[in-house]
Amino acid sequence: MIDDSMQEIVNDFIQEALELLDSLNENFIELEKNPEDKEILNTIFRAAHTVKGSAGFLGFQNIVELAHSAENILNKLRQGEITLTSEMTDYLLKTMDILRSMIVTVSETGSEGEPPEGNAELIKKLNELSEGKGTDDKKETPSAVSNAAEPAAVPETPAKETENTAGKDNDKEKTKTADSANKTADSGKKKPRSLGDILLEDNLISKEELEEIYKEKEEEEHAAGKISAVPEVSAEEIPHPSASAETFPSAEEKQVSAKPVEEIKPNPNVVQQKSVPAASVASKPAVAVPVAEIKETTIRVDIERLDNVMNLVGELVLARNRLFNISSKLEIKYADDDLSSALAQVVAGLNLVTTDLQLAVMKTRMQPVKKVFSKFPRMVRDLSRELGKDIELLISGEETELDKSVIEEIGDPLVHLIRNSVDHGIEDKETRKLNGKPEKGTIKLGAEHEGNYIIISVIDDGKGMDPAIIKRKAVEKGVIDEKTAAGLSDKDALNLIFAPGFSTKDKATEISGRGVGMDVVKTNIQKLNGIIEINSTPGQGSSIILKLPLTVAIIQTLIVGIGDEVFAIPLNSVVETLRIKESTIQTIDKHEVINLRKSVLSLLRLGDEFGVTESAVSKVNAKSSDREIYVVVVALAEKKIGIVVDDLFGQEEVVIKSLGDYQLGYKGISGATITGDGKVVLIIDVASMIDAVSVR
Amino acid sequence: MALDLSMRILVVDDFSTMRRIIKNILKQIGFTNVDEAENGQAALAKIGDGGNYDFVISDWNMPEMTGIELLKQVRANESTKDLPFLMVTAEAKKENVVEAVKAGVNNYIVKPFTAEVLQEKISKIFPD
Repeated sequence: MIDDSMQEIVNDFIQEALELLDSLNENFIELEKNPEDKEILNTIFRAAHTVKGSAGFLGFQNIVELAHSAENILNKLRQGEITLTSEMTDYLLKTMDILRSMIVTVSETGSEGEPPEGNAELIKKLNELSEGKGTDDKKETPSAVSNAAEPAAVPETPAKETENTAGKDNDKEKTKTADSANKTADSGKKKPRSLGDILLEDNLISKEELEEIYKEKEEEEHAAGKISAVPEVSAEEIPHPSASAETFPSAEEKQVSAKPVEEIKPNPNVVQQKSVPAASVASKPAVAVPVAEIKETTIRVDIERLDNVMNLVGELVLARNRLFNISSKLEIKYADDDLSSALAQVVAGLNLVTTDLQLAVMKTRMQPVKKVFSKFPRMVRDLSRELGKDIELLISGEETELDKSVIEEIGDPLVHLIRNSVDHGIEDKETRKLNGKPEKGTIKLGAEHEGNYIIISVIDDGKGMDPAIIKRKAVEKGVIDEKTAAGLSDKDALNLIFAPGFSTKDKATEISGRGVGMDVVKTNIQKLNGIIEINSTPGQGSSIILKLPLTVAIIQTLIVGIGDEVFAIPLNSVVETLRIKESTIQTIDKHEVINLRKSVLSLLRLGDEFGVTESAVSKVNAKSSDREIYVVVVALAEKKIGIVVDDLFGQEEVVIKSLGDYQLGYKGISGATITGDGKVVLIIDVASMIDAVSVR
Repeated sequence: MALDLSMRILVVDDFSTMRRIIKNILKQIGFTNVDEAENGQAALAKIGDGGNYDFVISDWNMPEMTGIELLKQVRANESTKDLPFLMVTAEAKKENVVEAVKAGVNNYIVKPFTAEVLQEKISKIFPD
């Protein structure tokens, strides 16, 4: 099957198989809780089976072999021949990991290459495990499919001895088939052969065997008819009463008459309807099978195309803003003109549609946070087994949807946060017992919407964090000096765990290849313009709340003015705005601060930062200490500062445009946008503003 | 042996890669009219009261509705009871074959298979 589309199929296989394997982790955790759950076992079995099947077509023998071994165990588990042990789960999980890596190899190198190290041992181990409980059947021997038929009813001997009669029977059967064909002659074609016919023709089964099977079928149907078969019951267990009785006449029927059907009913249509009650007297109308209307409702779209649509919508939003602005001006200028009010109406309509379109496009990029969450149960399971702790991970809100780009960025931070809770948060069983806590620790991972944000929380009931200890550690590691430490509030002390260099060495090695610890959390959340909040009660546990914007490309901004210049501050980062008197500003270490509800807030004058001279009006008032100024309180990750500006102009939805090379070297600007009045406005990079304050 | 290459075929499998593979093989044989469904339920909805397809190729083991259940439902409907049906299976165990015979399958094929084998299996179903 060498074909041009081959590569495409391989790509499909890679993507689909990986998704399938990823979804299994969760199933395994669920399975450990309910080892008897056949439904889950079936799902896992089917996955191994599917991967094996399609890999076979594509010639990936190593994958086939490994998947086959896993499939064996799973099949036996599913049949109840062996019971699931933790060891089995470990090896099966490992198998899924190795299968995954094999598929990744295919995607990277285009071929399967050598089987990974330890592959042979793993297969051996899997086979041992599958035979561990002393079941006699090996790989290729049939394992009992739950079947209503008695095994004794299936003759084991092939058709050899009956060859003589087989020919005759075959002829008879052909006549029979011809008869049926005549009856259904309205189709104008020859009747297709049944598997029974084909097996018979190829001498794979004897006439007697076949009749035996048909007879059994008949009996099963009668039996099923009497119980009044329930269609939902699994197909393998209760055969559905079939209406095609005449295609498979029972042995008795044949003895009575060679052509029973014809004798009774001349009209094929009437025949068929009558034959149902005739075949199984007590059966309900078998024809009226409810058909659920399930259609394929999804398609895969290249992410680049979606990005492109998103960009175009961005342009449209800009044009809309601009048009909106012009039309409002026209409406004022030509208030009596019908044309201007008509224009205003059209623009209002366009405005509405654009907003809806923007939302709709954003939605196409949304993915449930489950995509990220689903890997954590496995991680917590493995880690707690490793550490000998008993920990349950409770997940909520996994259906909450987030922009794809956000989903991609929150994976790593969450890994760190949850690892941290498992490693350092939850105590070992003995300690928990001593402290009067249940032995089993709990970590709650949740997601929920809050306005234009999504809130992701990691809450554990472990030992919590002691601000005093954190301060001491931070001083030891040279993150802060003693004097600063003394002045830190408890809340600020907790935030020290995000400081680069705070993470302990051993932690960095545990998380192999991922660099440093909580630093990553901060960096990634900052990249998303998210906010981190830590709370902790020593002895009772910690909670870390991540507040993330829903999307990143089109954002709401607060338009502010300094002197004659206008800037935009991403509204995601804005906590509140204050109007204060100059006189309330205090100076600590030559830095301006204000006391905001008993907490010290560092100030940054945007004018000074960008070298913008104050406007003439402000200059007049500059001397007066009673002059009122605006402070925009912004927060990012765990930090908060106040940005001092001259004016607040309002809120505007903008599309971030990169400044490209021009942006190089200018810290403090994250991009530019065009506002409704056609001005190019720079967007403030809150992260670098906060850094500027922290540095001094 | 002249197969009707224009016959309308429905390929049923829950794994889209597998559907593509089978469609690809069918295309190699020369079939031009191939549609697909992702499980028994979806297939049943597409087949409806017949007339849409001349031939069904279905996987056995699928979620929602298995291939064998699909076959039974198809056979139970007067208007589709003669629809030719080829079952794709992973292994040809005796009891599976017996079950398939009982359900009224026209032929079965063990995966992985080549275009030649598939063609042969289909030819067996449609006599000259």
